[in-house]
Amino acid sequence: MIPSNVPRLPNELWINIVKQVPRADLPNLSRTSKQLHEVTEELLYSEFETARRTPRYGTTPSFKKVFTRFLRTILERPSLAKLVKHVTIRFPMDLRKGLPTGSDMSFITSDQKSWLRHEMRAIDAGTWETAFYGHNPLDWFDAAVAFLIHLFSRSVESVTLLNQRLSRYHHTNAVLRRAAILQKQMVEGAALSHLRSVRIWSCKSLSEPSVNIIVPFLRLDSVKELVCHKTQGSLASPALSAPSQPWSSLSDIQSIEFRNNQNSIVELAALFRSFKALKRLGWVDRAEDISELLSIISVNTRLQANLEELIFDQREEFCWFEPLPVYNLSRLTALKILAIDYMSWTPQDLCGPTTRTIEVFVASLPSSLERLKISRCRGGYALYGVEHIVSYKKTTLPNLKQLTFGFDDADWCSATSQMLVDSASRCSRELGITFSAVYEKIGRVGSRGEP
Amino acid sequence: MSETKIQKLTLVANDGNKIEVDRQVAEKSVLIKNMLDDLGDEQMSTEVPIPNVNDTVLKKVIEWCEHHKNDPAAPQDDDSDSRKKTTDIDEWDQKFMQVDQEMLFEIILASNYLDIKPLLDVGCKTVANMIKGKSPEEIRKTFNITNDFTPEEEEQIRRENEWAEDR
Repeated sequence: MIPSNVPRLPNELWINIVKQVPRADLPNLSRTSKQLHEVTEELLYSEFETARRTPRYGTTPSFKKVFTRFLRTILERPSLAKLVKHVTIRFPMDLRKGLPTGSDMSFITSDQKSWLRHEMRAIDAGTWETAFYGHNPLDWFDAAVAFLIHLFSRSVESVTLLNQRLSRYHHTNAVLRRAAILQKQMVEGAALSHLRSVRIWSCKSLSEPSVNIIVPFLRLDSVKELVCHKTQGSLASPALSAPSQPWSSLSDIQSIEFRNNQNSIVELAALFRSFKALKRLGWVDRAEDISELLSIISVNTRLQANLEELIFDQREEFCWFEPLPVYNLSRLTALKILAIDYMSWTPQDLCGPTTRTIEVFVASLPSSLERLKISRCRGGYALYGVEHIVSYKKTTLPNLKQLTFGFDDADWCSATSQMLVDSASRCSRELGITFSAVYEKIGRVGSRGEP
Repeated sequence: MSETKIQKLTLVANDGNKIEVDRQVAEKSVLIKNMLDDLGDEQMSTEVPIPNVNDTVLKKVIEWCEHHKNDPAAPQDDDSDSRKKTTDIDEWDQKFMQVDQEMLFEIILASNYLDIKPLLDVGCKTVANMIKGKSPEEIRKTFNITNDFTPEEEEQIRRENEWAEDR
C-alpha cells in the first residue's frame, strides 16, 4: 500500500541534502519554505566568500557587489555574522572600477553609521571611517576587510586571502594586532579566538614591510596552521624582531606550508626562529630551494627537536625533476612522518634504487620515523627497493609502520607492477609494516591546490 | 553451535508482507546487523518486523542491498569534502533512483531508519542534484513543497541572501 500523502523529511535529513547542494543554489532553496529557510541559513552563512573561481554565469559578482549586499543584510540582522566560520577574500583586480561610490553606500542610515563607528572603536574609528567612506580604492578595500574580520571575530575558524597583490593593510592589521594583544592577555572570549587556519595565496607585497599581512596573523595565539603561496618579502619585518611589542613573543604556529616561496633565506631563517614548536612543515617548491631550507633546519635546534612531519614536494611550478643533494635528517629526533619525491631519494638511479642508494638514504633518517612516503616513483622498478627499506625495521628504523609509494604514470597499473606490489606488501607485512602503492594524478602544474 | 547460524531472514513490512532475504543482504542495514549482534543467533527470531517501512519501499531497499551486498564497508569519512562529490553517483544507482519524488523521499526515510548510510547518501545526492539550477518555484513543484511565506517575507529573504547569489 502506497501512503496517500507525500512524506515530509525531518530537518536532520534535509541538512544532509543541503550539504550536497552547491552554494550558488542555496539562496533559491532558502526561499522555498520556512522549513528549508531554517535548514539552509546556517550552512549558507557558515562561509563568506567573494568572487568564486569557477562562476556558473561567466563572471562572478564583484567584491563591491558582494560586500555591499552583505553589509546591507548584516546591518539589518547583525546576528547572522556569528554564523560565519570560513572566510575567503579575493583581491578585486578591477578595484578602481569596483570601488563603491557614495550612492552604493547610501543605504547606510545615520543610525547604522554610528553602529559601524561603535563596532570599529577598538581601532582608530576616525581614520577607519575616512577610508571606508573615502575615495582611495586601496584604503577602502583595507577598511572593508578590516570590518569583515572584526565582524566575524567571534566565530571565524579559517581565513583565506587570495591575490593580495597591492596590499595595504593598515586597518586590517590594526584589528589583528588588537586581537593578538587580547589573546596574549588571555582575555575570556578574545577576538578571533576560534581562528585556527590562515591561507595566503599569491601574496606579493610590493610596499613597505609594515603593511605585510602574514606577520600579524602569526601573532595570534589561536592560529595554528598557515599556508603561504608565493609570499614575498617582509617576513623579517620589525614586528617579528621588536621584543618590546607585546605581540612579538614566539609564535604558536604548529603547521606551516610554503608553496613557491619567494622569500629570502634570511627572512625564512628569522621566521623559523620565531616558532615555539613547529610540528609540521610542508615545502612545495623547486628542489634547489630544499637545500636552502635544509640549511635553515640544520642550525635551528628548536625546529630539530619539535618537527614531527616534513613534506618535500617539487611539483608546484616546475615539471622537471631536479636531483637533490643528499640530505641528513637524522637530527630531527621527533620526526614521525616524511614525504619526499622519488628523485630526491635516488637522484642518479633512473632504473631503480641500488643497495648503496638505500643505505645512504636510510642512514639519513631518524629512528623516530613512523611513516614514509615517496611520491612520483618512476616505473615499477622503484618497487625493488621496498624489501630493502623495510628490512631496516630490525635495525635503524624500529618505529617504521607505514611505507607508501606514489606513482603518477601508467606503469603502475601494469600486471608486472601489480606482482611487485603484492610481493612488496607481503614482505612488509611480515615485518609489521603496511605497504601501499597509490596512483596520484598530478593536476595542472602551477595551480595545484589553489582554493 | 555454529550450525545454528542464521543464513536467511524474513523481513516483515508494516503492512504484514513478508520478504525473505540472505543474511548478508539484510546486514547492509546497520540496525538489523546490530540487532543480530546484540541478540546472538540463538535468541534471534528469523522474522524481523520493520514497522516503519511499507512493502513497496522495503522491496526497493532490498533490491539496492542485493546489488551492493559485496561492496566493501565504507570508511568512516569526515564529511569535510562531501560537497565536492555531488555528482558522483554510479550509473546503476542513478537508474535505481529514477523513481517518483514520493518514492525517493520514502527511500531516504527508510534508509535513515534502517541505518543504511551509503543508500541514504545516494538518496540525498539525488535530491541535491535535482535542486541544482532551479528557481524556488521549480524546487517547490519538484518536491511538492508548500510555500508558507507571504510574498513580502519571500522578498525579504531574497534580498537578505542576495550577496551569495552567483551573479
